[in-house]
Parts: sequence; structure tokens; C-alpha cells
Amino acid sequence: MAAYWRKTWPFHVLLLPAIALVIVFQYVPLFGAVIAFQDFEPWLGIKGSPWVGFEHFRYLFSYPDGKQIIWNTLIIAALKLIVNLIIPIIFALLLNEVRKMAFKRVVQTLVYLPHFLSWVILGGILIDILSTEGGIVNRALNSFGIPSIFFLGDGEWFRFTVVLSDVWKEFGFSAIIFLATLVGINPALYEAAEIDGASRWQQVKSISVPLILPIVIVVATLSLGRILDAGFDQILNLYNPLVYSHGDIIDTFVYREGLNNGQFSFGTAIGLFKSAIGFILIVISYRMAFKLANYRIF
Amino acid sequence: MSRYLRVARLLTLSIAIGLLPTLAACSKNNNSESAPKSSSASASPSASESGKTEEPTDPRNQKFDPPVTITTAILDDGASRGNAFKPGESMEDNANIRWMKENMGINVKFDFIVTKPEDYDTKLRLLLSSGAKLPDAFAAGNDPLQSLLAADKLMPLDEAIEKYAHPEYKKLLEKYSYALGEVKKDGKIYGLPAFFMGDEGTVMWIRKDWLDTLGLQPPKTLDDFENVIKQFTENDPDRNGKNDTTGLAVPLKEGPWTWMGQTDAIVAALTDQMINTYDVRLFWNKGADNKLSYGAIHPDAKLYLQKMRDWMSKGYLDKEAGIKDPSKSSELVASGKAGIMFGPFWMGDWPLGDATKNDPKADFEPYPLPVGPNGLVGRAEKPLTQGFTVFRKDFENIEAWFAYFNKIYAKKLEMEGDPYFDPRWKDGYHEGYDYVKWDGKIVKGNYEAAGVPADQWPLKDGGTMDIRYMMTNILGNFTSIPHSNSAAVKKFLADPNAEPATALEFDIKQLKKRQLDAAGVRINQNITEGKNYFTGPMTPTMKSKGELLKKLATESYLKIIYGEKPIEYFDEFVKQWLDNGGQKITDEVNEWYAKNQ
Amino acid sequence: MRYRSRGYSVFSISNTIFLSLLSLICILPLLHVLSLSFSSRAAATANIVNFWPIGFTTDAYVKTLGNEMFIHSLWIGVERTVLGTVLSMAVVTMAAYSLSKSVHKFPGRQIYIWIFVFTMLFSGGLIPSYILVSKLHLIDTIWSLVLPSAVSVWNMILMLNFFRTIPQELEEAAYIDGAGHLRVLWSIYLPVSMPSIATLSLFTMVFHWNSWFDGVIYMSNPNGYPLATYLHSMIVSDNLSRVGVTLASVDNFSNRTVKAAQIFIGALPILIVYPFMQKYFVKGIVLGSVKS
Repeated sequence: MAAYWRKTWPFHVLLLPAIALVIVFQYVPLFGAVIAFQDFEPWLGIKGSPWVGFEHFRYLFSYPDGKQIIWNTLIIAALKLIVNLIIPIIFALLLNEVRKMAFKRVVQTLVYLPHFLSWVILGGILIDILSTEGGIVNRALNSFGIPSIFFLGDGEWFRFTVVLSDVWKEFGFSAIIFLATLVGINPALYEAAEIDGASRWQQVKSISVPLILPIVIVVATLSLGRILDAGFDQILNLYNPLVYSHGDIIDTFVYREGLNNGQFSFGTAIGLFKSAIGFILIVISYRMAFKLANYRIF
Repeated sequence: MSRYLRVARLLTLSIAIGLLPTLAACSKNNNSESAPKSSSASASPSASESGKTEEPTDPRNQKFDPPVTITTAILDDGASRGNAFKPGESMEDNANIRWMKENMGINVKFDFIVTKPEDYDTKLRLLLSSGAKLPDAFAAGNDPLQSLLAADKLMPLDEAIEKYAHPEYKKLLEKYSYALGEVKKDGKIYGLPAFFMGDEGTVMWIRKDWLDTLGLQPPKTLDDFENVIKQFTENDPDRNGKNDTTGLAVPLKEGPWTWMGQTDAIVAALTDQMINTYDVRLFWNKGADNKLSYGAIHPDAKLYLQKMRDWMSKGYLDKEAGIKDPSKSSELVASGKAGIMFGPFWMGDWPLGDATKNDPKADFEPYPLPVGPNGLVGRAEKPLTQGFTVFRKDFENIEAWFAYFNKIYAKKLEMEGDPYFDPRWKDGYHEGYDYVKWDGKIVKGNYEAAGVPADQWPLKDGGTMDIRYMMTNILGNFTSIPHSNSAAVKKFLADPNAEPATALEFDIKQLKKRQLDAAGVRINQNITEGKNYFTGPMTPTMKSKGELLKKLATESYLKIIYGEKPIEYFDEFVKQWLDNGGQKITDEVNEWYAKNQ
Repeated sequence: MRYRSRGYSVFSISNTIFLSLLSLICILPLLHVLSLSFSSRAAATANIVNFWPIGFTTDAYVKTLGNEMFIHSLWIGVERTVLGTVLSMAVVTMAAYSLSKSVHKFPGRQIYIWIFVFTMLFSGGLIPSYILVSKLHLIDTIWSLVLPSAVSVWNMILMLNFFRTIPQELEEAAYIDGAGHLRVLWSIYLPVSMPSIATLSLFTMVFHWNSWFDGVIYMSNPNGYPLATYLHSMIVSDNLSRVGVTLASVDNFSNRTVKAAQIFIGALPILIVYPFMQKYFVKGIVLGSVKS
């Protein structure tokens, strides 16, 4: 034991601030999660509120729209997860091919802008550009002889619109991490490949892609933890009664319920459910990566 | 809570305090006739009647010694309030706070200040959860209010009202006692209501220039109306050679009833039911059997849906109405793409005044609502109360609170001979803030034009101060007197140049011509507004199923209007509505009504 | 050179065109907001402003910059971002260094890592957090905005993955020279990892700059709001809500142009940070080529 400490004490010391902060600010309040099993009333406090067991979880699943809402959440979140991973990678690889530094920087900065506009603003802009009455997108479609599409008022198209507009907002920001990894790759590797006569495409395939793969896997795994987050702000600002059946998600549902009742318990219960699912998925993918590739994601 | 109510709650404060004189941009002679004469016997302070041991205090000059401290919380919407404070002053430190301290012996302390209504409720719940002391006097509504009542944290007010309240205010409470359902418990009142002015009833706004271009008359009946929206849609009323206009701009994202662009007039032309889908508490209509029923599931609603569906399919309505909220929808009228929109009188300035700024030809005028085939015509009444001012159970200084409240209330009434009227506030609230004395005149705005030297302007840029925020502090919510501005509206309609005699009249005189006209149109059409007969707290089933039913109703209505479901689907919707808790809610509502009628 | 092959030039040109179009699509919304902020109220109400101001006016900026509350919250936003980023990066970097060691070198790392990962997903929620922060007497202090979120596990995991790519030979040479862990972290890990540190600092800054909810919760007075909280309360509250004040100054209704100006000014500081950070990305390349 003493030998262990002698060898590893600097590691523990370096970890101390983070662990202390996490214990105080994350673990101490965790006791509050018990309100998921209560009918929490603010004036009774956590100690005094009545216990209801799994009532709140049951409520979600027995809710007439419950299955639909969970399904909507899953499908939108899964699509976003995939698209929001692939597009930024492709973009990063394409940008990495640009030789002109100035152009590269300008592009990089511009695509990162939409991340900083909230969905309240972007929602209003989207309604305009997707309008069936003279919106720019439908005008373009019409000029190809395609009839106008009611993107925000038609269920199937709504999901498509949500995913695509989310990518539009986020890909520039998501790509930063991959770009940072790409610039970290040792140029000597490319030079060596060049000498061996590898084409640029082959270099991308055999150097760039494998080297960003670990980060891609990390990002993908961590994103799995949010498999039940379909984007609250976005949906709240874009959905409407015409697309409830395709667009209502868990978070908007909890929000509406909460507005009426200030139900902390219900929100906490659903949050707990979402976290549990996310945690299980992360554990599974961590194990898989370790078993299959002998790689510890973290 | 529905979006509408969220907005409404914010409106409460805004409208309520909107009554206080603020922006009068004209000057008035100093020798005001509204100065109080203390001869009237009718309104003697009740404190002297009830308190045996108490000295009869002059309500005009009540000062508490030793000073009392009243804690409160407030929603200070910094975004909209404009210039509420001078540089360096704030909600917590300003002329009125100091004035109250010096002249009334009341110290005001804010436990919290937030900028959004949702935040207000969140803060209140957090405060409760952490076991902290509640503020002494504060605004509460809906769910937090019910929690506080259930937790027995509030003070019953009957005694205090009897003892301290302004006699006119007592009368007001009596008159509108039906609206106090939410704060009544065991026969006692636990909150003072914030009343709306009740003047936001729907009028019909039409592009008069389009009517003229097409040689049309303003529609008197629903059939005329249909013809007008047809012509507006099909006959290129703006003569730009493009088929780019719509008859009616209408937001349907939040159902048939909302705060602007609402279609209650169309509903009311077809049936005596009032319909809303976006809140289970609205509208509960009274039937012949004296029972309440939910308007949105009444068979007559089919008449409305049929009409809207027909108009939607013909393109007379904005095709994207289903995805738009009122303010998005109003862009259509402001940009000259739609010719009609329903809504309150204030639309004459924003957004319709902006239509004229963008296109000088655009002339939106207010018209009376159209009459239906069976001679029906009407509009819905916006609920009169939203939110209440409540008091901590152990609050000891309610007398001091009422001393301040009565002063403000008397200032608002400006009733002759009111013993509560503080002569120090005769000309305005605080000199150098909401008014300036110059050259023997009271100047309340346009200081530069009135010749006031720049160093005496309340603000450096010569602008007007919005003093209501300063005055509201411990009042939490502040109440309007419903329908109290009708006389003033009529006065200025008859003679736009009449001299305003009271602060209220000052404000009415500031209305834009179109707003005043519209207020007149509403008053003169003189129709009974459809009331919501349920004013109680949310029933248990409303809490658990309300959101589901709201979603179901709004979705079903839109699907029928958009033609995605046949009109017969309505019956299926009604069945679902009843089966999913609607029946139970109906029973609960009627149980409440039987008790509180 | 392969770069000069015909196929590659075709690719290069189409790539440039494609990326330019992409940038255009991404800049349009901000351009719209910018145009709106310089337009007249009437044009904003009618929503006829596209990418060029209509009825040009700088009123919105005069109002915004004359707004004490805006300026004040802008300052708190900057303060919070700087303090939060420095604190968070310091804590995260130290932890990531330890955790980047393999299980063999640092038995016990697995326990730590799962303690951290667990908090990524599970949290107590609003009420207990509020109670905690108020018990610690941090309410209405800047610490309530920076301490609870100081440990970003997401950043920690990315950082430890970056650290793992650092060649072992580098640090082993240092150990032989008698350097301790702190010294290795400071003089080897940090310089070589500039691109990743810059990236993660950027993430942290953006997080702090955009966080608004904690401001609402932990500040009992809007005077303590950071910019994001202030802006959120401006933008989300429907501009129509104000129209109820029918008798008050109309200028304050429907102030979409002012909102646009506030959004723009509010985004500006963080937008400027990125191009500035990009120079560290380049530096990283240089160091990267040196190291082998």
C-alpha cells in the first residue's frame, strides 16, 4: 500500500481539485434526485414530501401519447447523432485539404457563427426561408418543377427539417474538435506517404481517417449518453399542432406538464430515466471498444 | 400554463400599472380642479370606524414610527420598461423608495427581482424549497398560489380589507367577487386581485384602401366578410399584378383564441359558444340547464370548423396559419400581404401603424364585428383577473401596506373629496421624475417643446420617464379598475382636442387616432362579451390531464381546418376528449360551479 | 507532386466552391440579424428585412449602448467567462494528466474515471443544487456561476485522449532527467498540446458565455445577471407581451431592432475569440513537426 502511494501520489494530488469539486457540486446534490420518487412540494421540502415510488415513471409510459413521444424522441435524437457526427467529419476533412491558410480560417470562422444564435431567432428565420408562400427554399424547388413543401407543417418533413437545421446550426462548431485533431497530425507522415507515391485520397484514407478515429469514437460514445435528448430548444421553437404527432418529444412534454404544475418530481423522474438509458449505453460502448479494439475510450 | 397565460401574466403588471399617469406628453395648468376637498363625508376612512382604541389617523399623512420594513419580490421586465429609473437609480434605490421612507416610514426591501414571469415562479418555488422566509407582500398566481394556499402560508385578508382598504376598493372587490375564485378558501379571501382593464375585446381591422380599390363595402355580415376575404385573396387588391395576397391573417398555432389575431368573432357569429383549445380553463360556457360545458367540444364548434376549413381550402386564410403565433402572423398585415386581422384596439399603432410606415397607402381601419346568418354577433371576454397580491401569514404591517396602496388607488381614482388622496401627489408623483414645474405649468413630457431648460429635464435626452415601475414596488400586482376608461374614450372621440382632466384622461389622450377609433368601435358596438364561467383554481384532473387535452384539442382543430381529417372527425375528437379526462374535468367544474355560483 | 495532378485540381476547385457556398449559408442568419439591427422598427415589424437594412438607422445601437443593464451584464459575462475558463481548464488539465496514464502506471484510475463519468449523466437537479449553493453562501456571487460547472467531464475525456497521443519517449526522457510529474505536465504536455488546449478552452468559453439558466437561479437581482441571462430574458419574452402597456411609450414595444442589436453585440466578443485562437492551431503544427 505504501508503495502504491509512493508511486502514485502525484496523480491523486493532481486529481484532488476536480474530485473535490465534483463531490461537493455533483454528488452532494444527488440526494435531491430522490424527489423523482416523491410528490415533491416546495413547502414540504425533500424530507416532508410524500413518497410515490415509481408513479412518475408509470405516468410517462401510461400516458396516451407516451409511446409516440418516446419514439419521436428516439428517432430524432438518433438521426441527429449520426448526421451530427458524419457531416462535421466530412467537413473537417474537406477543409483540411484547403492549402490557403486565409481561406481556411475564414471558412472555419463563418461556419461557426450559427452556433451562437439561439433557436428563438433561428426559428423565426426558418419559418421565413421555408415558407410555402415565397420562401427561398420552395422557390428554388419550384424552379426545378418540384411543388412546394410545407416543411414545418408536415410531419415527415418536420423531422427532416429538424435534423437538417440542427446540422446547419452545429456542424461548424462540432467540426472544431476534428479540425484540432487533424492539425495535430505530424506532417512527416503525409510527406512519407507522398514519397511512397500515395495519392492524396489514399493519404486521407490511410492517415487522416485512422488518426482522427479515436476522437470520433470518443465523441460518438459520449453522444450516446444523450440519446434521449432530441433538442428541446429547437423543437420548442419549431413545433406546432400540425406536427405534434411527429415532433413532440420527451423534453417538450415534460416542459408543458411542468408549466401547469411546477412538477419538479416529474421532471426529475424523466431526467433520471433519460440519464439511466444514456449511462447504460455509454457503459456498453465502453466495454465493446475495450473488448473489440482493446481501447479504453476514457 | 399556456403561452397565452404566460403573456397575460406579464400583461397584468403592465396593463394594471398602465393606468398610472406617465407619459402625458402635454402640459396642464397648475390650478387643477382635481384637487381633493376634504369635505365629503361619504368616504371617511374606515380605520376610524372599526378601531376602538385607535386614534383616527389622517390617511393622507400616515407615517409609521418606528419605521416598518416591508419585504417583497418583483418582476421587473427590463426589456420593455424603457426609462423607468434615472441613471444610478434602480428598483431598489430610487426617488419613490426614499419618499416612502421619509414620508411614510416604510422601508422597502426586495427579496428577489427577476425579469421574466417564469423566473418569478421558479424563484418563489426555490425560496419555498430552501425553507427561506417568504416576502411580506408579493404577487402570486396559478400553481404557486395554490401551493401557498394549500400550505397555509398566506394571510386571510377579510379583516384587513374591512379595516384598512379604501372604501372604493371594497366596492370594486364586491362587484367583481366572482373573479376571486382562485384565492377563496373556507370562505375567506387570501389575495387581492389584479384586474385587467377589460378593454382588449376584439375589433375587426381591415385595409380600407383595399376595400376602396376593389369597390367593396366594409362587411356587415359573415357572408360579406367571406366575400371580402375572397376578393382580397383573388383580385389583387394591391394591384401589383401578382397573386400574393391573403384575405385573413390568423395565427392558429395556439388555437382559435389568443391575444391577437383571435377568431372569437367568427365563432360568435355562428354560435353562442365561446371556444378556446389552448387552455382547459377557458372557455366554460353556461348552458340552459345552468351547467357549464367546455366550448371546444360543443357540437356548434363544427360550424366554426366547417367555415375555417372551407376558407383554408380556398386560400382565404394564411396557409401557414397553423405554424404561426400572433406576432409572426402580424407580419403579414404589417408587410401588406393580408388585408384583415382581428384583435384589440391597440393594434392601431403596433403592428398596423407600421404597415402604414412601410407603405403610406396601407390604411388599416377598425370596424364592428360581422353578424352571422342567425343574427349572432359577439366576442369573447378576456378573463378579468390574472394573478393576485398575497401576504405572508405572519406579516405584521399590513396596515402600512394598505396605507401605501390606498394612496396609489386614490391617485388613480382622482375622485373629488377623497380623504385618501394625497395632495402631495396632486400634480404627479415625484417632481423631476414624472413631471416638471415650469413657468407655472405642470409639464409631463416634450420638455424641450414646452421650453423647460435642459438641466431640469428628468432625463438627459429629454425623454419621458416611465414611473410606474418605481411606484409598484410592494404592491406586487397592481389592479386596474375594469372598464374605467370608457368615458374617457368617448370624451376624446367626441372632441379630440378636449382638455384632459385626470391622469387617466391624460393617458387616453396619448392614444394614436386609430387606437382611439378602435376603442370607440368596440365600445359602440355594445355587445355582451362571452364570459368564461369557470374562475376557480385548477381542478385535480385539469392538472393531470390539462396538457393532454390541450394538445388533443388544438391538434384536432387544426387537422380539420387543414382538411387532413374530415369534419366528422370532430365527433371522434369529442369522444377522446371526454374519455381522456374531459368528462371528469367537466364534473369537477360543475361541482365547483354549483358551490360558487 | 500529387497535389498538382489534374484530378486533384478539379477536386480543389470544387472543394473551394463548395466550402464557399457552405460559409455563405452559415453567415446568412447573422447577416440578417445585423441588417435588422440597423433597420427601422416598421420594417422589422413587417419582417421585410433580408440581408440589407431597410430604413437605415443606428437607433438600436444608441439604445443598446446607452442601456446600463446591458453594459453591466456584458461585463459580468466577460468576468464569468474569463474566471470560469481559467479555473475549469486548470482543474481539467491536471485531472486529465493523471487519467491519461494507463492502468499499469496508475492503478486506481478506473475508479476516478467512473466517478467523473457518472456525473456527466446524473445530477440532483435544480432544487438541491440551489439549496447547496445557498448553504455555501455563494448566492449572488460570481462563484455560483463558475464553481458548479468547473469540472467538465466531457472536456476532461477529450483532453486525456489528446494527452495519450503524446509520444512516450518525450516524457520518459524527462523523467530520466529527474523531472517530476508537474514539470512534465507543464513543460512537455502543455506546449505540445496547444491545439487541443486552445480547442477545449474555446469550448469552455463558449459554454460560459452562453450559459443563462444559472444566472436566473443563483442571482436574486438582475444586476448580477451575466449577459447570456440578460439576453435570454430579452429575447425569449415575446415582444407582444409588452403591447399590453397600451398607454405607455410605444418605442419600447416590438423592439426587434434593439434585440437584434443586443444579440449582435452580445455575440461579438465570443466571435472574435475564435479567429484569435486559430493561431494556436498553427503553432501546434510547428511543435508537432519538431517533436519527432
